[in-house]
Amino acid sequence: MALKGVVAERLAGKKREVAGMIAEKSTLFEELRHLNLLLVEDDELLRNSLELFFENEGCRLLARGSAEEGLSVLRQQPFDVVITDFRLPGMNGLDFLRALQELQPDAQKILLTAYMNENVLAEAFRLGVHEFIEKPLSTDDVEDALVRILNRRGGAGKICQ
Amino acid sequence: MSWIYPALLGAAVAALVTTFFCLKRERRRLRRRTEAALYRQLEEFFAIFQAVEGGAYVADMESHEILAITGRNQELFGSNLVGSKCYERAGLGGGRGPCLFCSNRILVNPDGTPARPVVREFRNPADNHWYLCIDRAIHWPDGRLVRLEIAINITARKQAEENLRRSEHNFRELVENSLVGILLVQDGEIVYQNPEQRRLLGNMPNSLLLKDFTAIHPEDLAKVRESYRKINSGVVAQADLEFRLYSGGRRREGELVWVYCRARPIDFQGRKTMLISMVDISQAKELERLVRVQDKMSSLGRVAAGMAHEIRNPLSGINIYLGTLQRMYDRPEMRARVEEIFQRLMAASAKIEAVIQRVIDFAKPGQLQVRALDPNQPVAAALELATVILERHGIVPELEAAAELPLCRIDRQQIEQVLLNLLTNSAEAMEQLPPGARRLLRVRTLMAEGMVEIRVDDSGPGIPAGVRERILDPFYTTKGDGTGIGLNISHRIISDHGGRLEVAKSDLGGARFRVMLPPESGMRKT
Repeated sequence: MALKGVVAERLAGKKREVAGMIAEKSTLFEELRHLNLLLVEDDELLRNSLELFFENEGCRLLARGSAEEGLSVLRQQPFDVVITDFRLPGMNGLDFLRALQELQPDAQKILLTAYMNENVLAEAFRLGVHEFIEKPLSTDDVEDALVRILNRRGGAGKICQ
Repeated sequence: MSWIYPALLGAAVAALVTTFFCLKRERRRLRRRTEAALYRQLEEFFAIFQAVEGGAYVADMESHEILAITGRNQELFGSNLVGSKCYERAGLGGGRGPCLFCSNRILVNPDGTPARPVVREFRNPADNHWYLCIDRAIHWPDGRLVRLEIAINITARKQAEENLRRSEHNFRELVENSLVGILLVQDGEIVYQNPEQRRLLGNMPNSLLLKDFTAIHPEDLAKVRESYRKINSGVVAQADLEFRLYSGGRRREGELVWVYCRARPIDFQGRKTMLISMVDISQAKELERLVRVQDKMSSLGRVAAGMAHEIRNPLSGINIYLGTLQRMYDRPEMRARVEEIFQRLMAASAKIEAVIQRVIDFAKPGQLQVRALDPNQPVAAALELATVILERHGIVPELEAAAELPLCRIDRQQIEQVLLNLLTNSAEAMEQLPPGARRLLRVRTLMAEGMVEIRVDDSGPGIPAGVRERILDPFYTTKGDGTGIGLNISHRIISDHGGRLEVAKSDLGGARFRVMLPPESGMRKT
């Protein structure tokens, strides 16, 4: 119950913030252009659409179809933001996040889920997931989540090289 | 010469006296010889009764004194009883006076000649045995009329008769009070129906001809006719089937009742008779329907999580593409890109519709709607439907479909449901395997034992032999959260198709489920 409350608050907070963050949103992609983004999503259509979306904004988004492939690129280069689906063939999103936490603890984590489940949420919180995006997601959902992440990170003054 | 006459007279007298005594002696000798012969005959006659269960005796009609007696049972028929009263060892007079039913007075006609023998059965209170008694007056060697009684012990026969009577009574009680409706049919005509049967079908006239089958639901008529024909022609020894009846015996009268019916030919009173018994299973059927719905809902729940994923992914794709399109809208140099996006949008939309259609089909309520179909079709459909679940378990199913299968009369949705159930069961069973273990799932279609077989093999932990017999039972489950209904429903669905569901050990190491379906006759592909 408490957990659901937290999630609800976070989701509501998300909506409230949107209005006050138009300015930031307008400059979001300028900031993002300096960052490395990784997407792990097995659904080809969604993966392609997000790739195109970021490409169209001139951002560097590397997209992979499985956690294993995601890990292999994580071992080669650092990422500022990692967006991963929860349900993946083979290694699932949570295990991937666990591995990510060890490899690159500073990376910002966004979890995509189609089917919210308390156990999954609790585990994701524990692993320090910064943002959840529930499917079906829209470009606004993605932008809002990224804005919030950049704001928080910006506050901490730490940006990836 | 006067002395000569008296002398002559004396001599004559002496001769007469001598002759008289001689004659008397001769007569006595003759009588003794006759009596001895009679006694001998009686003895020989009596000797026969040494071989009979029971015995015989002769008693005086007045004094009831036993004059002669013989028999195997010495207590009742011992020779030491000569001189005692016949009623002392038998009779209902309590041994103190002549029996109440003593036959003496009717053994002799009014003119003093012996009457016809008196035959009766009676239970002797002395030994509690039943006797068949034949009484007749006979001439005793001394000339008087005496009573001869031959008593044959018929206790065993009496007991057998009693047992038979009791058993018949019990049997009748059993049949009359049975919770099962029982019908006897001779030449298509009802000759007997018990009360439960009357309740089930209404009070049908005994002469009703069954061959019209007016009481049977039109959809079940063909099935019933076929079973009736098979039994009548001796193709099968017994038929078991379920069908719907109009409780009034005729359509539009009464309500529909589901019955489980068994019919087998018997010999009844020397005539070829059909013994038909039926149980009202309407409630069970209703429960089964409810359980089927519930089970469908629970499997739907299981599928729903997968469906959410399947729908929300393309929906997300659409949203992202739309968002991107919005940004490209006023940039003509992006035209080619936009075209591509439109294509992808349409594909995503179609994908969502396909997913929804599958869910709707799956949830459809189930009367059997059979169609002649290539059995490979539902196999392929079920595999497609199960892909999400299987992928989640890290399983890539293997399909070996036989190319030349005969068509089967099947309800596509229901067979798909059965296969989906088997596939998810396999996937869940393989969940128990240690990580890194092989997770193999193979689906094959083939011809076996004259039937079309759909075989699902997995490399899971398998089903122990003890569980194998029970696994198709309703409510039997080895899963903590299972209802134990899935396989039972599957079993029923396959039975409804005239096929069978079998469990065995797989060569992949786990379980093998065999769905055996009868091919549609005369429709073999060449």
